[in-house]
Amino acid sequence: MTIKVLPPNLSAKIAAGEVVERPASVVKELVENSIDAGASQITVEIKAGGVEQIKVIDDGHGIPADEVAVAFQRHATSKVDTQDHLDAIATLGFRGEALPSISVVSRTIILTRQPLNTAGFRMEWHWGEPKSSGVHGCPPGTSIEVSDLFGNLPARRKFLRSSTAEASRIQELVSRYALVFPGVRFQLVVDGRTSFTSTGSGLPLEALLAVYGHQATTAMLEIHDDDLETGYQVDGFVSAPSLSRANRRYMTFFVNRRWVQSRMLSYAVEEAYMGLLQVKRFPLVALNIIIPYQDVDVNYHPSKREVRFREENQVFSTVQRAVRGALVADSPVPSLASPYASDSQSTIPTPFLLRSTFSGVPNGRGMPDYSSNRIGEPPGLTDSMLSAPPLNVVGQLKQTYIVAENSVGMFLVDQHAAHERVLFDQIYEERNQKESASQTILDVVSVDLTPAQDDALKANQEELVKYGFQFEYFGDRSYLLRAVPAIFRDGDPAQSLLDVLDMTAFEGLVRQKEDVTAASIACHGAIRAGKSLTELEMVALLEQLAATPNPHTCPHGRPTMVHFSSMHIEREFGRR
Amino acid sequence: MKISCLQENLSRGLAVVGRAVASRATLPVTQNVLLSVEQSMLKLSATNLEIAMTTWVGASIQEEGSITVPARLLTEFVNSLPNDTIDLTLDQGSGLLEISSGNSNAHINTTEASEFPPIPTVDDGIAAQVDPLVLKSAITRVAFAAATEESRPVLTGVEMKLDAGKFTMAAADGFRLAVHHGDLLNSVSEEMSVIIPARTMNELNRLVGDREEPVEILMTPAKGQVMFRVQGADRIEIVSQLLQGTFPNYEQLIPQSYTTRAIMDLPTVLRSARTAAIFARDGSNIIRMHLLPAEADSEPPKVEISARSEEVGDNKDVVDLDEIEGEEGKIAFNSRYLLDVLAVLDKGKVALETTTSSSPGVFRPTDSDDYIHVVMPMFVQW
Repeated sequence: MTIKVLPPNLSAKIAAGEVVERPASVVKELVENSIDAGASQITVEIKAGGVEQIKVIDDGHGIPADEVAVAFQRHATSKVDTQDHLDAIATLGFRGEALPSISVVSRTIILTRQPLNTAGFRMEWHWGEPKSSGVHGCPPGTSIEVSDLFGNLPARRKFLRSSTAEASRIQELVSRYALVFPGVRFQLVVDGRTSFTSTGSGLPLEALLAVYGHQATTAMLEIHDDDLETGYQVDGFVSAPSLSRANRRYMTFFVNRRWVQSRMLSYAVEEAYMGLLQVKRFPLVALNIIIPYQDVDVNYHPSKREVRFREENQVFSTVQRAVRGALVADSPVPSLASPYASDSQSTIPTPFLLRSTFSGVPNGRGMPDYSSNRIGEPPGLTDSMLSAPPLNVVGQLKQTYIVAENSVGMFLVDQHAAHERVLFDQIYEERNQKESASQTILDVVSVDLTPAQDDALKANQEELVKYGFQFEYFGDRSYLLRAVPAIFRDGDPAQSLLDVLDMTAFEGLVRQKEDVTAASIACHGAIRAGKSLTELEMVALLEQLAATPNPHTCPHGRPTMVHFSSMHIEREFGRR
Repeated sequence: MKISCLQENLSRGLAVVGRAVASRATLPVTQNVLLSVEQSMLKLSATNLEIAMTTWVGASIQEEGSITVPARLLTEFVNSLPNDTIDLTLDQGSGLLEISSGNSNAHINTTEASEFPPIPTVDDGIAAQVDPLVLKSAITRVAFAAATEESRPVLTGVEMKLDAGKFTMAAADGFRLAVHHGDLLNSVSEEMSVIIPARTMNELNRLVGDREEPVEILMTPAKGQVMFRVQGADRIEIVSQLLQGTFPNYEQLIPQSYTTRAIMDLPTVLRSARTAAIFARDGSNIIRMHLLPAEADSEPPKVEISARSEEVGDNKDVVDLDEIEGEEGKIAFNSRYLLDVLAVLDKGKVALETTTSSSPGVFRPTDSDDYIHVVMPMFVQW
């Protein structure tokens, strides 16, 4: 084959591929444009995961009619005009690639009106060719409609994931922008249903509430850290150690309010949590790092996902210090982690442990996890301790923990976590033996799902069936439930499905698919904290727990038991 | 208040109403028993606000009055006394109830009767009378199928329907359904149906015991209450709150046809099911029933009852059927549901009707059409 310059049409498609990787990238580019246009309200509507249609509507300052056609040319932008600008980019966009790239791989309609103009302007592009244009009535702002994405790139389309998966990426993206632009009212409409809205009140906490929900929000710590010397500023929220996730997906970073992915920043945060979280657990983080524009190079990657810092070490230590500072301020006894960690190596005992565990004083949000981290991990607890001398039940604490002892000391066993582990193993084993006990229901119930539950059901349909749910579609997010896993016999069948879906929807983002369903089922079926148990029940539970291959953690990774060594107890009483 | 009665009678009365004393009291006075005088008898009442029980004890009344005392203390003390006359005297001034019998003398702190929740009475409404044996058998065959968890409150109850000279009791827990039809001793003027807590039915069953006098039922759905009056050596009244809500329309849940109908001997099949349950216990509690028509004319039809657990092992009993109609059938049940229904039917023959392995199994005793029990199957690999 001879070497030749590619026809413009083809090279444009190739270039587009760098910017527009998937529907979420289109949304990202358009939302960033809207933000740059000073919008206070941004509505994103998608159909079929964005492949069929993406519509981004803002109330920003619009584009003058005579500049619309120019905007669709490569390297056309209003955001940068000199070299100096490029060295200190304050807008989210600047490359002038978004609109041309999107228009090349889709059918695009732009409708725009500047607030002071009386009429708007409409222009339509098909696969990079202008089709029609003219004056058109519309509200102030810009609305861009992108249809049939990658219709001319079948190969790219093939690599897209299911529309639910693409939609969930878009949801993630929009919610992240909502976090860092609390003053903008975001609305995401998926297949005609509103799946997310932020208030746009300008209060970061409200944005957090919209994205993470009430429960997680209450466990978040606010960070506001100004480094006067460097001019760096760190703002946002991190989770208290009591709240953690199994992977890094809930760690979101913005640099000058631009969403970025940075291993360095993740690492800085993880360093700050050192000793506060269990191995392989990660915090929820939404941090905006404000850095003088000249100290950061955003023109590093076509999709602008990655940035470079001039003073990488400085950024690292600023972030780490800020996060650590917030964690320490929250923790009632900041030095807790270190002395106890050394306890396993037989040094100074800390009287704090017993106080905090037994006094029943409402301790800090982080407390339970501190202790679990310290003690749930080896070498505090080994198999030999559990299996060799079996645990004897002493009693129940706060109707939540089983107090047990053996020759190596005292154990507090979390009854819910322990039962969850037992059930999880049972369910998992049954499933592998294709013997999942599925109990049909006498009176078929119809169950109405929320969009999130519906998504979770669709994404995990096969697994749910394998574990014993039987249901059929009944139209518009309603399902007829015919059978449930046999362990749910005592509950309300409809409620059990809803609970499992809620848990799956929540955990599903962070865990392997298969485990999620089993873990959710186990969690729903397990006895709750607050239920008083008879001694026989406690003995049976501990026996079953000891028989599981991995008795120390529940399927969500929380510890099932905490160990207080005899040595430690004796030292506390001054016997040693 | 000053009365005398026999230890034996008082002890028996306290044992009866003791079942209605609240165990965990949100209202502390409900842990007491109310003593009062009515129609020259000592009247004992207790309530946990869901069920109220009243009984009467023969006594000689010197002075009327009413008072409440801690039920457990009084019961245990009275039980410890010899069978002799007991004198109960309330000292109005100190509020102490003096109990003396022979050499024993005790004083118990009391709470005023006015603080006791009113014991509901049902005077009007639809009255029906039922033979105690018929009632007991109906409760035994139905009440166990009610749900024990509170997640769907109406299912913790037994639906009782009165219509002309008949009554129907039904209970379902979402996975099984028991329906029993029986005769009333009289005919009611109006059709009526209420949902009674299963716990009330079980208490009633216990109290009826081996009495032979008809049990009287008084229903006032308007007041949300039902009363059962048990007659005999002594008289007991149980007033229970009704459960509010709509009971599932169970008629439509009873299959109208079958493809296999097998008639089996109850004691034999119950024994085999119990054996299978031992193996099912460590697995998923699944018992499989494979109904097999006779292979040759000389052979009887059979049912294979089996269970397996990956860890423990498996077992299979092959039991001769009395009769089979239709084709081969396969169905799997939760062992508890299977054992429960076989156990309450107890003797004689039972017919098991099946359609497919995912449609309900229907149990009917062959000697009467009074009882139907539907069990939802479990999905299993065959």
